[in-house]
Amino acid sequence: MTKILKGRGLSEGIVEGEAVVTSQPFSISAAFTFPLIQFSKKLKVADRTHELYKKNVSNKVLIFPYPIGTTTLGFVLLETIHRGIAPKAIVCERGEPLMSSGAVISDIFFGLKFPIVDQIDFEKLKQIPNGTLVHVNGNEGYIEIIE
Amino acid sequence: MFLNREEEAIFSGNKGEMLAKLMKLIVKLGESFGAEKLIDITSAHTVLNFGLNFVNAAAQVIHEIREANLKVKVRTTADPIIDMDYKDELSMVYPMFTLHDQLIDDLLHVGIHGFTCTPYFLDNRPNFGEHCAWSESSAVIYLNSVIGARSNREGGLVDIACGILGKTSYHGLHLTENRKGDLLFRLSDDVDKHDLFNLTSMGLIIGEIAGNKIPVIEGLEHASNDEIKNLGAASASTGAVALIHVIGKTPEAKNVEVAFQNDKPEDVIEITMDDINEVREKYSTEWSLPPKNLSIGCPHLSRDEVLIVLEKLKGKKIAPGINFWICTNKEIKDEIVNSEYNEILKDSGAHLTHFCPLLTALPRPLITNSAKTCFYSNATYKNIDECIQIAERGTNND
Repeated sequence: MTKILKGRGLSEGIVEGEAVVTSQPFSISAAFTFPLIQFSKKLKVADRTHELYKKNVSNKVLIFPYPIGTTTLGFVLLETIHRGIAPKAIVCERGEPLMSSGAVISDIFFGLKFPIVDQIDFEKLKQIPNGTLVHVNGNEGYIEIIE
Repeated sequence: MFLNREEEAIFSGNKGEMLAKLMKLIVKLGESFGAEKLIDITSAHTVLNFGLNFVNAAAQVIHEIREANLKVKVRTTADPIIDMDYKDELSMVYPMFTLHDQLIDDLLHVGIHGFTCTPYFLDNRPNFGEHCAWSESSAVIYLNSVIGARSNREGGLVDIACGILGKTSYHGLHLTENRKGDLLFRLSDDVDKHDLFNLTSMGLIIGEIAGNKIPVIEGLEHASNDEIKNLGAASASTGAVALIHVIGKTPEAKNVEVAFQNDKPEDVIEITMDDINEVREKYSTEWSLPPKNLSIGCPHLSRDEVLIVLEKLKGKKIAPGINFWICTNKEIKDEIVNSEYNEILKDSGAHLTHFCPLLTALPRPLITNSAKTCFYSNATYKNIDECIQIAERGTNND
């Protein structure tokens, strides 16, 4: 059985991966800067105020309500994509240009696609169990939950 | 999105491949967020973490922009760079800035100069109502809330694209209707509204609650621009806040009705001293070891703020083994160092610097009075007087 949730594609790309879902807003800068400094091969969330603290989100479909935090967000995300340790995709209720910029720059300048889909009601997103396989289509702006 | 003939020509590559890429970037982002057109800007400010080892991809793009020989069209500044005056004190830290020299060289070639997170203390201070493309969350919130100019929170590289094109996409906070307040905050009577440490702690709470909504604060008419700078930096850290209406201070918020554009607040929130103590406990890291570093000035201090700290340091001496950093822009630093105030620096042993105390990985334990530094680093959060007392004693225990 599959279930499709329609949203908006903020950046292009089509991927499939396991969902990591958090109801807490997510600071990409606070979470990912430290593993980048450490040249880590994993992407363990370094934000000690976050419930995903220490969880490796590399290659996952990361799902949260909306991003927060400082302006480095875009190029921090870009760097994780460029180094090949990024999540596979981001899905949220309310995206914002800063976060999109990392993915769009990655596409335009490096030809590396990283789909971000937003405008999906978080009440629906939070029902996705962790580890569920999710198909993310940034070109058309939807996700498909594969059970 | 509507593009005029010139914009269309750039988009389709008639003015070169790199300019087309930059145009595609701002058009794609703008379209996603409902922009119907581009708008001319008067100023830009970029954040690139001055060449730390984790901005390789971004630095590569800037190098390509430089190779394409493109220049910014409007006054464009960038966040702080490292301070070689302290290369001995920071010999363990500076090797992390592997891309620094190349990045600065590239930025200067593109016409970007002036390196601070508070560019409005330099000559990059737009006028009321002007449209800008700024990054640096603490600077954007100041621009919108104190100056009344208009910028969304742009991202590093996007801001440079905007600076080169002289344009950004017209959406978000560029439109008056999107600058309407959402939430009303008040301080309860038990909070001393003249204590900066309370105001910055309040900033942390407001960011947490507001998320990406627009807060309105009543009861801070007396606050200085510098105090709002520090409060706003905290809110822009714990939340995605880019504009706070401080009633009586923000040019667009003469009163509550105007701030909410005659609508009602979604919610009215009172912040008490208990809330403030709780948020301090939440974000402050307590260390049992004595501190190695104390940092003041995140965001960079204004000239007035530097002088306040120096007055407090007069006649005091920083304990051996402790670095006490006062961070401001290079122009203010050079002026102070060449004035009679330099005596206080020399006598106390404090360091005046233009680096960023947040990105410079100062060895821990670290103590700061900055809510923003505290949020992003595992630092102990104290008020300025406590910071100085601890620096003098050399230990955090009484």
